[in-house]
This record gives sequence, structure tokens and C-alpha cells, in this order.
Amino acid sequence: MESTAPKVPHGHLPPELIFDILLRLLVKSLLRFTCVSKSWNSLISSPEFIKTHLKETSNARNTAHRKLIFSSTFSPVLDFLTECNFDSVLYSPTIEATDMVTHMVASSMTEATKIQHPAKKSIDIVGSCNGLVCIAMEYTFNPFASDSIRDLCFFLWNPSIRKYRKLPQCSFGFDFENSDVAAYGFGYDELHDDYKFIAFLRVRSPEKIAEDHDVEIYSQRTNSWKTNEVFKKYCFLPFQGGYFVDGKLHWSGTFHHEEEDHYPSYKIVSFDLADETYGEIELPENYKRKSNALRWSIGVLGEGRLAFFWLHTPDLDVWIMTDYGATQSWTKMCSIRYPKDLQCRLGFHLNVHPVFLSKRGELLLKVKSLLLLYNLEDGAYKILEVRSKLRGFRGILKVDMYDENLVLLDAHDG
Amino acid sequence: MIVLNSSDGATFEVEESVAVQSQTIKHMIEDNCADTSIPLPNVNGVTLARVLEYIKKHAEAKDDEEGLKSFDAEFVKVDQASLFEIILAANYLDIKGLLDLTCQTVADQIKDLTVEEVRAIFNIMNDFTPEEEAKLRNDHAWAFE
Repeated sequence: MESTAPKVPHGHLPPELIFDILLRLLVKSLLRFTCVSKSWNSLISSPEFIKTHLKETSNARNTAHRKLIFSSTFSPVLDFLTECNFDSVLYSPTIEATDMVTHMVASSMTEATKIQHPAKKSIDIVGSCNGLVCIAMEYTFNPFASDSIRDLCFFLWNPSIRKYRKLPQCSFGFDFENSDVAAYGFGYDELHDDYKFIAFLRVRSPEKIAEDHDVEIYSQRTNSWKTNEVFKKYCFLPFQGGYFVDGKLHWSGTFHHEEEDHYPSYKIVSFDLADETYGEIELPENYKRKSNALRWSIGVLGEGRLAFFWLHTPDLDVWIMTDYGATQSWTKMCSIRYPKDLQCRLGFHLNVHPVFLSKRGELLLKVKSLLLLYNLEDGAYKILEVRSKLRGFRGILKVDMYDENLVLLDAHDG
Repeated sequence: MIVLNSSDGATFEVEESVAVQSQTIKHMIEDNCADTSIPLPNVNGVTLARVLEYIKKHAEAKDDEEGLKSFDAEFVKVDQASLFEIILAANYLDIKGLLDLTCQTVADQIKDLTVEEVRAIFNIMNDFTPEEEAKLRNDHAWAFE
């Protein structure tokens, strides 16, 4: 006859059950509960918990953990970052965007130089991936003087826990006289469990027709930069951030053939973060030979798929590559007709940034500085207004999305 | 019919088709350990009765989504100690749905509590020095607002 097992005192759930319970909590509760005890603190800060929690929130069928972030315009200082709950975008007529704490702006100012305050600063969202957002901040000191200085720095930031890490200055420095950034991108290398940032610098030399780009790659794991081989084959279409799909970053580019009289062909250039090699994706068949470089752009939609946009005013064609890498899998999702009252505001330049495509066929796009919610099923659309209490908040410059998570728990306050 | 023995000697009968919602019991049956009865030394009678109530309901009404939802909501309206007992039992018996339900319930109950209240519920000793705790609170100050 077996002896009865001692009754487990109710307080002592084993660690794996505590883990299961804590996985279901939002970031704010988890940060508080790091103070419960040393073992709870280790559990919540453990890489395993952080990773699993991120997976859970990204997969969650409800979007309670999801937020949109916006960088917005307020000339001459473009340094607002605001955010709102994702759900409010789909379900309310207007959206209140709240200011994000960006202390890193203030504290970095003193690091940058001992001289004056930057007269101009601007913030750009490079990209958001696997819980972290990459931010580019540009400062100009003494913009009208002969000794004006420009500086550009980057941050990895987790807005959920308000922590950031500033990227170290890289070897190339930024010499704005002779070079500028042609394109950059931010993504997550799953193979090496590393966040990477890549910048293509265009060195100005009047003799060259095709452009050479110096390529610099930052790895979060080693917290260092390295120079990659010079990138000769493509020109990037007007300055852009890369789009992260299937472990690779993507940009729209023009490929210049060696024969002088050959028309440039348009390609989507990809860069694999794990093995650091380049690739190409063809445009959908119908558009390959069309000649206008300013009419197309790419993005990410619907569970991480590569999307392609083509503007032939007043219509915007939206395509999605359903099977990554297979050109024949480009599928036309819809053709949106810009509403008459917006046509002149939207103009002829494609300034479309895809935000989200839901399973129910709701497509959220940023077009210039408006958010457009389009229903693929019935073609109905809604222009969404983003409002903020910030004085001077005007429109939206860039939109990105993230799910609340704990990545970078040991970084600085931001 | 399967016979289950709780840690305190209570006996329960349940249909095999219902009992196999517990992966633990399912494996015992497959391994032929269930000839006469299955001993469950880690679960007391009161808790086992509750668990059986859950799996019986989920077997008989499995297509009635609305009905199960309201059953589940009522099912978890028990005191803290019992809830923890059910979690431990669901874990030992490997009943995924029940474990999910009870863990989510605890998570919902604690999410807005203070650190002191959480310590009380889980019977945890604070092993931080006052300085260590103050530093941690300061690191994440905004979460305490």
C-alpha cells in the first residue's frame, strides 16, 4: 500500500508552472514582478523566457499586445515618436497617438559634442523586427555656419520596456561632404540569434555613373561593425529602409547593365542576414519592362510576405509574393482607386508604406501622411486620422508595428 | 470503465474514453498498468473529483463552444488554494485544456497586483536586500505607476 504523498503547500508551484503563468502576462506586470524574488527575477530575465514570451505575443490571436509607432513631422525639429494601440486603428474612427518616452534624444545630445545644442534633429524609424525597433537620429549643429556639423547615430530600442542601446560609432564616420547613406535596413538573424543593421554608404565621385556603395554591418551580438565588400551592382531607388522578409532585407533597386544602351532593369535586391549574401527578386511579370522608377515600391504584408506596389494614378496595384522567391507566385491582391478628394494630395509620387494586412482582408496603408484602411472584400475605405496632444504634431512620416516584449532587458533607460 | 485511486484513498470510476483526456492516464493504460485501478498518489480526493468533473463535461459537450465557455468560467470560481491544487493535478495528469484554463485564470488574477500581494499568494520570501529591491524598482519605475 503506497503511503499518501505529502500535500504540496499551495504556495509552491514548480518553476515550469510559474513560467507558464508568467508567459501570459503583459510586459508592465512582468517588469514589476522581477521584484518579487531573486528566482522570479532570473526567470523573467532569462533568454529562454524572453524568447518564448516574444513568440507568444507575436502569435497571439488577439492583438492586445500590438502597437503602431509613428515618426512625425514638426519642422524644423522632427523628433517625435508616438505610438498607439493597434486595435484602436481598426476599430475607432480617430486614433490618439501618445508620446513615447525618448530620453535617449536628450542624453545623447551631451555625448555627441560639447558645443551647442543641435539646431536640427530628425528621427527616422529604420525598421522593427522581432521585438526591437531601430532608430536613426540625425543632428545638425550650426546649420548656417561654415563649421556646421552633421552627425548620424543609431539606436536599438525596445519601446515596450523603454530601454535602448546606442550603436557604437562605426569606422567610416559620417562625412556628409562626400558621402551619404543610400539605404539601410534592420533585421533579425535567426540562425545566429543576432539583430543586424546594415547601411549602404554612397560615396560621391563625379566621374562615376553607376554607384559604388560601402557596406557596413552592425551585429548586436558582438556590438561591433564590420565592413562588407563594396556593393557595385545596383542603385537604390530614392532613399529607403529595407524590408525584412524570410530572414532577408529587401530594397527596390535599379540594375545597370554593362552595355551602355541597355535600359536599366528594376529588381528587388535582397540581403541574407545569416550568410550575408546578396540576391535578387524579380518584379511581377507585367511590370518588369515598365519604365518609371518612381512608380513602384515594396513592403511587407500579411504574415511577413513581400508586397509590391505600383501606382498608375489614380489606381494603386497591390501584389503579394505568396511563395517567397518564386516569381510566378506574385498574386494581385487588389487595385485601390484613390478617392477623388485625395488625388491631388497624394500626387504622382509613390509614397506608400504598407502597415498591415489582416486575415479578414483589411489592408492598412500609409499613403504620404495619411493612414488608409481599405477593405479588400468590398472595396470600402476609410481615411484614419491620427491625432496627438503634442503641440505641432502634423501628419505621419513613417509607421511601423511591434508586439510588446522583453528583449534587451539589460539595456539603458530610454 | 477505469478506476482511479486518489492519494487519500478515495475511489472514482470513469469511462476510458473520458479518462484519456489525461495523457498520463492514457499512457498508463497503453502500458498496461491499469489492470485493476490506477493509483494517483499526487492528487487528493477533492481535487480529483473536480478534475473529473472538468473532463467529463468536456467529453460530453465537446462541440458546444458557448456551453463549455460558461462552464469553464464557473469552474474556476474557487478559492486560491483549490485553484493551485487543480493546476498541480492538471500538470501531473497532463490535461492540456485544464492546465491552460487554470494558468490563464491565475495570470488574470495577478496581473494588476502589487509585488507584496503576489508574494503573499505564492508564499514567496523576499530575498532581495532593500538596496537591491530599490534598484530594481528604479530600473523599471514607469511599470509601478
